[in-house]
Amino acid sequence: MMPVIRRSAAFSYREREQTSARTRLLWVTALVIVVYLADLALGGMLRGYARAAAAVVWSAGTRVERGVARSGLFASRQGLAAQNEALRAELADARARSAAAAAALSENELLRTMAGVAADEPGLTVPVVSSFTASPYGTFFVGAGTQSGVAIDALVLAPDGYAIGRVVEVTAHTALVAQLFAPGTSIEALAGTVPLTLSGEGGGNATARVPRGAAIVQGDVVFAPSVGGRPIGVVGAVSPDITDAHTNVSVRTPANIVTLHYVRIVTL
Amino acid sequence: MTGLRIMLALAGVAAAMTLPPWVALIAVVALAAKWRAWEAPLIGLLIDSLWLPAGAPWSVVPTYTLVSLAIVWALEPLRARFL
Repeated sequence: MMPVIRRSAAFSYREREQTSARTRLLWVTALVIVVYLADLALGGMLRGYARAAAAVVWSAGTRVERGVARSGLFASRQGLAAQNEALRAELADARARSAAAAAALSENELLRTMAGVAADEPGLTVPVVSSFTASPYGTFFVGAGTQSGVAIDALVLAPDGYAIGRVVEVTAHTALVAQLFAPGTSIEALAGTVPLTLSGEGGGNATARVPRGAAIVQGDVVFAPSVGGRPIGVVGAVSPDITDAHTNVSVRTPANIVTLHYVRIVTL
Repeated sequence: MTGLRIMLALAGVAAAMTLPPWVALIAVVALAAKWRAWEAPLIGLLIDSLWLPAGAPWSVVPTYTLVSLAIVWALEPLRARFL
């Protein structure tokens, strides 16, 4: 005679709950995979909906932030924050102007040796609508799209004229921009006459290794042929390693990329 | 307990949109450690949907979707043992 195993009602209920939770998780896993593949097949249509919803949240957040600022709530704290922000902006502005001057000098030297003539390009000044720090892929959104003449591959410039990215996806009212120094990317560049391959690290920073003794000094402006010879950054630090035949070079965009509220998109 | 789960899920969604990605990842790990959280892979998918540029299917890897799926299933034996 087989022994009869009796389970308590509580144990049975818990087991049922766990099985049901596991089944739910399995279904969601399948759903996530299906949604991702469907999005790929539909050319990113589904992520377009997600981005449209996020854009509503971002703009609502901006409105709330402005409303709180106008209301005078947290006034003393806001005052300090504003002062801090103003000082930061002043510092960034001074850095940007200094870098812009350096870029202009280097560019002048470059132009003297070039046959082409630089012409003013048509462009749009557009607001940055998303956070710079939220993206793990070095991307951000701007509030202009095809309706404003933004196209894929359009170059994105910081207010000081330094190239910071390219438009990689565009909808009617927004565009996704990939930073030139996004993590995991690399870009060929020139610091003076020294060619270097910059590896992006995100946040407007990049690094390169050049042969020891290469004529690179802090403050040199770095240009990239792939963005029409525009400046993309300045040399922030040069760290020779006596045990190595190479020198490590850090390059950054002069403007603090995280604090940019507007960028310029070149529309050709 | 359900309240905490909802809060973590909402924090994960908010972090995916506005905060550095590691904050969302913490929410995913916290959810997956305690529950068989179906919300976790959705947060990963949201991060990739928002920020990952589209490209050739195999040229862009949806890292956060895969990581969140890996976390939620890798923690399954631990949950089965202790929950």
